[in-house]
Amino acid sequence: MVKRLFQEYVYQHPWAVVTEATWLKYPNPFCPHVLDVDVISRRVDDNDGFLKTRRLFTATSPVPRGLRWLMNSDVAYAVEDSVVDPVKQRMELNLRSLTFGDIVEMRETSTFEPHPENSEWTLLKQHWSCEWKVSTAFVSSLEKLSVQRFLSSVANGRLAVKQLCQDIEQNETPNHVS
Amino acid sequence: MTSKEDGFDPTKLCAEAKQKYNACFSRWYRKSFLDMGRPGSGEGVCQVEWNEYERCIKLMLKKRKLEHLLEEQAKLEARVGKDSR
Repeated sequence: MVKRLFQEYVYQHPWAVVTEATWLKYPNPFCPHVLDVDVISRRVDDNDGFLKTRRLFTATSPVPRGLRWLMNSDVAYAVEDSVVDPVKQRMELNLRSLTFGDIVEMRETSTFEPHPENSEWTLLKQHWSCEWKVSTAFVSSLEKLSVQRFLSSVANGRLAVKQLCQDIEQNETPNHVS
Repeated sequence: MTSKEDGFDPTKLCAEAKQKYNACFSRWYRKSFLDMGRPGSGEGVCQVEWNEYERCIKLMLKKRKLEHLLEEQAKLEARVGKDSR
């Protein structure tokens, strides 16, 4: 069974600032489960002028310690493919989990666009889905844990992005959230 | 976790190369990419910094047996190229 969530959020910062902050978001102390993020390929497409990036996310295992017999690793990987259209001002991030694919599959799509009612703000839409493929009595607990982890990482991630937006707007050159 | 087989510490080297690349990329993103709209084709994004960083990335992917991520991307781009003709 696939668990799905949809969220919208408004950043009171311009699209250019929010998207720049997004590149710098990880790692940050608000989101300790994301250990690192690396760019593995990036280019500007000759045909459409879009920035196309692939990044590798290294995170802590989504499985609680007591259930580690399900997965024999402390680390999980996810890959994010993104496209930025600088003319239409649209950024789309597509994240999907890589490890333990026969046990759990997680996907997240985020789109950033200027807010339709205020061009100085940015509207974020997030679609998240998670499927645990194990048939154990623990499935609903695992689903609940995944949802909790997603919701808290989303809330904390926004704090990190907001701080970065402030740094960028104050003309500081942020490297990462400190 | 870090390998020192040939005296090369990938974690440390990657951290420095990554920081330089990310700093360059942030500047490019803000000043070139977003301002100009569509930069000229063939323009490398922070090519010097990327070359250093990419060296580490390839090693890291190999160590983690994730090189297929690069191949997948190359295949995807080749297919897109074909479709757009």
